[in-house]
Amino acid sequence: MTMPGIDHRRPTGIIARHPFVFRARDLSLTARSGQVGTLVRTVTAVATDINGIDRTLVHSQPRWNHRLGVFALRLGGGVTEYAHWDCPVDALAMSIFVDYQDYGSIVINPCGIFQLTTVGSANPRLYLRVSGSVVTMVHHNGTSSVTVAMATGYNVDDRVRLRGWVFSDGSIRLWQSVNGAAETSTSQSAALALASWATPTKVMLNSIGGVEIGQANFVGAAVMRGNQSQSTLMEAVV
Amino acid sequence: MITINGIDPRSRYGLYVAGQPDWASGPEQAVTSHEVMGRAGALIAGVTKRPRDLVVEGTIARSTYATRKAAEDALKGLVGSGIIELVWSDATQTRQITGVVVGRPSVTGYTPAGMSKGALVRFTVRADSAFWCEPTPTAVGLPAANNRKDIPLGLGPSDFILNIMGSATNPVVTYRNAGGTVVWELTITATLATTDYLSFDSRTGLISRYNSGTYSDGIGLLTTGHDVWPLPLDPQDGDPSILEWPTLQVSAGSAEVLYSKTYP
Repeated sequence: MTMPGIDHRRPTGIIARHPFVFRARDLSLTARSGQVGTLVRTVTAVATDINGIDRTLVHSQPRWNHRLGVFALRLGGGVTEYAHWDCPVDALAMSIFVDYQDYGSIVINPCGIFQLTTVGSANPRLYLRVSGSVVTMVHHNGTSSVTVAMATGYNVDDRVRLRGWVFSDGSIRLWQSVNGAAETSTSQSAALALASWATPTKVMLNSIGGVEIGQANFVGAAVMRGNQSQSTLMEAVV
Repeated sequence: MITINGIDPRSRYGLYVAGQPDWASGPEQAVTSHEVMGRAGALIAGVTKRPRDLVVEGTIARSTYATRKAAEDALKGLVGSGIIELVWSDATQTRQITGVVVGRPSVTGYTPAGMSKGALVRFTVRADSAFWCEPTPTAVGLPAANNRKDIPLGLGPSDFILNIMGSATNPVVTYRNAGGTVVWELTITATLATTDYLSFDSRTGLISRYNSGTYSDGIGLLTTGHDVWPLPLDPQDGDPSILEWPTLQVSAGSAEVLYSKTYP
């Protein structure tokens, strides 16, 4: 019998230096940037394997899932389920990115896709949420907020990539790509003083503050400093 | 097409890869043999698959000398950044491997020096595995106890994560070859409630127990099988050419196995 290589799935150098990079196909809740993730789900849930066979997974067990050709971390779907990681954030321009296959979030109003804040839903925070059947992005600095909303939504089962920018003046802009098509975007919001982020700040997927649970198969997510292109964010995540 | 840490070097740095010698070749085998007096041939004492050395050759072509030099620097920085992930793909296959650059990333500008917009590039990556793997993992469910489940593999051995979900008492994991003969077996002495699971990670050799999401080290629960843990899932325990695969089963509870198929 031949043993495999020492470990051919380990994180790579530069990617581990970003504030947060998570990739489902690494088969670990530990982000490529090093943070150990926490999955919150107290009940059993079902995931689907390569043969389309369901398997019932228990309390707090990640649902690594094959569905519609996508391998992803399945979250939500009738149960309270979300995941979170610590994420260092400074009052600087940044980019957030989420890649997922929606299996219901878009028809839940409202529900969370991505949140950056302390535990719970305290401000300051930055989040992506389905509201009114479109994705919105909100930047709240603890005093006031700015919001942008996509003009159009998408359909259940679509593969969606969302890219959000916080500019150095605190304004925000959101891009959306559906099923690999070219991105469409909102306009840039008004300026807003940048938030003074608390420590630890956390990235949360599929929820806003532990409520507003969505239904999505998450392929990956990232937080990077500066305003990064879709290709740069995808290089780390996909 | 290749990517390095997810980056397409052609679009990012103008690197047109002209050669990937031996990328499609199988892993090199090192053979230890001893000639025996009075016998023709030799006694094959051992066979080891060597790590791969993957060579990338190409040309950087940019529109100005300055952008060429910037692309050279960026590329050298990228490939020299510790462990890098190479992904090779065409219309039918995608393969991934990780490794580090050995020796020097060679960059030679075309003449006349200082004016050229192009440069020859060559570097070698020492992969940490003899095998390529599929970037997309495979998940196989074992929803019922005492039910052998085919484990479809690639053509090389695969590390795996096996999770056993409760309720289960003293579960035994049995890995058989395609003919049904037991290859290895792990016995766990533990009682898992309906909210508990055990996770075996052959990449690290760790066994983890999660009781309602609370982690504890589970290696002490392994009662028999210390001598075989961690062994991989191996297509040589089946016959991939006719899709005959080794099987896994658990004696109690249900389970899932997660792995990436590997290829020579």
